[in-house]
Amino acid sequence: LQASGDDIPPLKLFPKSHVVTFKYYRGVIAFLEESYTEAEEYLTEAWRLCHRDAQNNRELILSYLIPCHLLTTHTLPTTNLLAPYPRLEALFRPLCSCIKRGDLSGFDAALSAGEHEFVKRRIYLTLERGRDIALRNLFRLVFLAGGFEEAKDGQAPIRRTRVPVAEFAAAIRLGSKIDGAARVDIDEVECFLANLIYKNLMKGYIARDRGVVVLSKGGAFPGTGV
Amino acid sequence: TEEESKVPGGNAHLWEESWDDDDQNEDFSKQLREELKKVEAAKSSS
Repeated sequence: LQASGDDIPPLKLFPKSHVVTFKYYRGVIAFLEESYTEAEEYLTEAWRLCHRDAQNNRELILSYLIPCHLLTTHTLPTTNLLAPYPRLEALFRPLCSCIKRGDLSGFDAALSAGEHEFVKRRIYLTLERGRDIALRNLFRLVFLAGGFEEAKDGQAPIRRTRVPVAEFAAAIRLGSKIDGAARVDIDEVECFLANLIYKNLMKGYIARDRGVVVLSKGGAFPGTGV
Repeated sequence: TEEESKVPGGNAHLWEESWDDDDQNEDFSKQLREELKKVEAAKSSS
């Protein structure tokens, strides 16, 4: 497709409906190749050009654009966006609200509930990566719950940036609804933390000898306002 | 946000942030404290 790019006449000579289809498939190809930034570009153009009454086509475009958007920008579709498409609403809404709340067990349940449909549309693996975002949101809540350090005179209060790993472990127990008997392995929690830090969803480092996570004072959770 | 400004008019507000706003915060910190207590209790009993 790339190679033949020079042989096809300029896109604007084609009818709009063909252009939409073309962009859609290029987007889907990029999506399946996991080139999400590229996929988003094509799918967004397809979405923009697509006739507003072509409900089915718009739904198809969205079914790829939504997972794509989740990975590239970490944002979710609004209620307004999903409202005209009950099928998509049923598929994505439960996942999205769990991501928002940092509800890990809910996320897993929603993912397996929609598994058949997600696999059929080949978006399962992409959506699975949304679990990181849910985890990020859960850990962000831990950070927020930590409150503020004693303010030094005259300065704006700073959030507590040294958070014990045990607090994150407790949050994981909460989020995954593990009952009292089972313990959360601290090593596992550190692994989750390290993963999020590596993926730049969280900024800081783990001071293992002290069992504390030291978070960045400016923007510990990039892009989320704290 | 940057994303919304890329999308031309009429399509605004298609996307929202993936984290909840801080209204349920208090609830969560309460639950978290409870959970921490449980963890502590488990530690001292073992």
